[in-house]
Amino acid sequence: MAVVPMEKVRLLVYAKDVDAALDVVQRDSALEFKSVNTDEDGEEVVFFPNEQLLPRVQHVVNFLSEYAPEISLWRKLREGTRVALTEEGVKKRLSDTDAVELVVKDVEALQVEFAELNEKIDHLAENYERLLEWKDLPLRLADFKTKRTETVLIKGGAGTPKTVGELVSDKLTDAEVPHSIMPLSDTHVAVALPKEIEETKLSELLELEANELQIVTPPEGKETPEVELVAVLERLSKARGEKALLIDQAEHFAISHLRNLQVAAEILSWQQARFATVKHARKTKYVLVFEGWLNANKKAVIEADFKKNNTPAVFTKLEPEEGEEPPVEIENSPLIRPFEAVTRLYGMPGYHDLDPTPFLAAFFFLFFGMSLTDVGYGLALVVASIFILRFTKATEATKSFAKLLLYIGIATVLVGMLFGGYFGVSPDKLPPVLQKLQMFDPIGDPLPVFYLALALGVFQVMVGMIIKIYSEYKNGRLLNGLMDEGPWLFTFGVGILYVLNSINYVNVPENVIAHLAILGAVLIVIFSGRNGEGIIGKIISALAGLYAGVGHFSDVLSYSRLLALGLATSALAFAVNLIAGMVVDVPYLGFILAAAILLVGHLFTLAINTLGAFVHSARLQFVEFFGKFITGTGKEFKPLSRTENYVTIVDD
Amino acid sequence: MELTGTILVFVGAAITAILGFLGSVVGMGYAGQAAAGVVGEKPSLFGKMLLMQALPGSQGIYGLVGAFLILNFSGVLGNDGSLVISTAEGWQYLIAGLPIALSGLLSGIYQGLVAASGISLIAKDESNTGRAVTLAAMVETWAIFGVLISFILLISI
Repeated sequence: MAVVPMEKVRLLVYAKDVDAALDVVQRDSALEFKSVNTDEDGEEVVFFPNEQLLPRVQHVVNFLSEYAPEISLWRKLREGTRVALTEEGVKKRLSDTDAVELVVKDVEALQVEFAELNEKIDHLAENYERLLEWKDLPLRLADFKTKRTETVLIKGGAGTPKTVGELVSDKLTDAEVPHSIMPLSDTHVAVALPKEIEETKLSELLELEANELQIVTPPEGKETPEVELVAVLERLSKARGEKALLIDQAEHFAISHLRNLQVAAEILSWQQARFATVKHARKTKYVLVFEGWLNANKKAVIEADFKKNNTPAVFTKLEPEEGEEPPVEIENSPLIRPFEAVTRLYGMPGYHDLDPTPFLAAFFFLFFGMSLTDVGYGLALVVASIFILRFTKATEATKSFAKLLLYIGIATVLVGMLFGGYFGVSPDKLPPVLQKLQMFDPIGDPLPVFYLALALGVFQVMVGMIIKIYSEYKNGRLLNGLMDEGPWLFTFGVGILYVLNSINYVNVPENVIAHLAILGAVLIVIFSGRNGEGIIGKIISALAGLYAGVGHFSDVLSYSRLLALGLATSALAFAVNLIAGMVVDVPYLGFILAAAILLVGHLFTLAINTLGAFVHSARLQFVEFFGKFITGTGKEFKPLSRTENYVTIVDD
Repeated sequence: MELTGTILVFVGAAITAILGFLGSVVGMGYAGQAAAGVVGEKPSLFGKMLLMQALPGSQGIYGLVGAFLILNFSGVLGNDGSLVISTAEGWQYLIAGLPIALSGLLSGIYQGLVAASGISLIAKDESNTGRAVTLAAMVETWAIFGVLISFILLISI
């Protein structure tokens, strides 16, 4: 339930044991390495043994993935997409890279065949297109070049007033070039010219671009295009048949080997990550020296693992340098762990701050409920999250998020009961039991909800101030915390007293309250003035202290969004019901249409409002709440760890 | 003539809602474009980008609150047909909505611009999120004061 303590450490390992030692560290995700290598270009003493193999495996996996059978979403959810392996299993796979390499070689050979065949098909298809265009040319392609003449194919745009034949003929006659034109159509002609006329010369004579003409490379072959066309078509279909066979083969490979190759690629990439850290180490011939930040809670476990695996590796504790801040990781009890997702969205608190997760959990729960305020939608969230948790093999991250969804779904149900929200059904049509539960009517009488939202704002802001005092106390600056936040807490208290008085809940003479308010302001001025330097500095920081009141005030008003988001949900749900009610009278199809509108409409409302409720409940934590007691922004702890996409580790 | 007051209340509620919405539309548009660019490069930042884009959404929400309060205070909401609002009173409701409407419109747009810059701040270094959020939230202060003044005007009618 806190920011995890970090220890700056040095790790000494024999070069020959480096993979085994780092494997232990990587498994526990407990150490973030820092570069201490002063000799970047120095000779390496250890090498990643599968440097060549890994990219080949990854490449082959990419290739085969395209031919893998489609797995239905349902099966993916039910069975998961990851292979369960024990630590022993991982070791065994890593030691047996020869088998992997054999498969990789086979797939690579298949890839080469694919590439050659594709090239052949492309080439044939291109020639086919050209033959088709010049199909009616009654000339053998082998006769294009004679001893003295060469035949050129020219095609032009259709938009010119003269045909291409006339155009070419005019130009060549003007230039006194002997020629013979064989028009195929208005746009396509074959021209026989003396051999001396080169293509560049011809382009100039015909002014190709100005006249929208194009000299075309003749199709390949010997016979007339019409004859060649048949032959090419035959070759093309044969090549396509061969390709179908290759695809078949690739699909077989994918079914029998893709899983294993994915697992191999993943295990190898873990090893690659281990060896990549070696370049940060200082090295002698036999020993590597690493430095980094160690999750102090896991130190004992790692040292025990070193011992268990007979890996000679030692940690020594280092003192952080002046001004050096450790990276930040947070750890909470399983109950509130799902709410860490909200904190992580914002980023880590400073290393010396308190972990805000336990504090925000309750507020986030309540605020989300108030922003969605509908029992029906809350139940939908609950059902969806229970489904994910109970019936699917989702990843840990997804499950954690599903738990958060479960919590806030429950919150929505509870708040929804108090607010009388049931899929936007008007409260007076509800059964009397539910009507009795309703305490607020946000649409008919929004003011109480408005005041409730502001009151919650006051409460959370005050809690934030109290946490600030506690946080200062933990860092040995209790007095500082009291002087910073005490006057404000006092003034807020006076404000609350004023409100209670004006609704006749308590009875305090008005002038007492006025005097208390003045006292609050004086305290604020005095205590915030203490931070300034010199008389003028003190006056400025005293005024700045008063100005902070503006901030507190706007913080509280910002909570009015809770009312608005709740209203928006009710209004949208109500509108969906209204539209469905209108189409229900359509003859024959009425009920089907209405059911479709209800389903799609409520799903849409649920999605859009869940997103809005989530983002705005989070925002109230980040802007209005965190600002009170979080002073630093921590660098997130990024330990050497395994990324598990295809493998999931199970206990032996 | 007795309808003029009610019409003015309608105009006030509509202006309050629409200008607030427009502020959010433009502001979220700016922030969203910047965010999409960053997500293309660094998909893992999506959550933070969504948060930044949502910041200029508050003005629309305030517009909604304002419109609702106007309709509620004037008695239009839940009205059974017998409601009569004088022209002078109608004008009062219309004017009471203006602080939310105008401060929402402009602060939404400018908050969007600040959020867009904040997004590039986060793209450079993730640990800047807190600062980026704070800078953008400063602009919103004025929309919130718009809400406050509108509220005070409404309860003074």
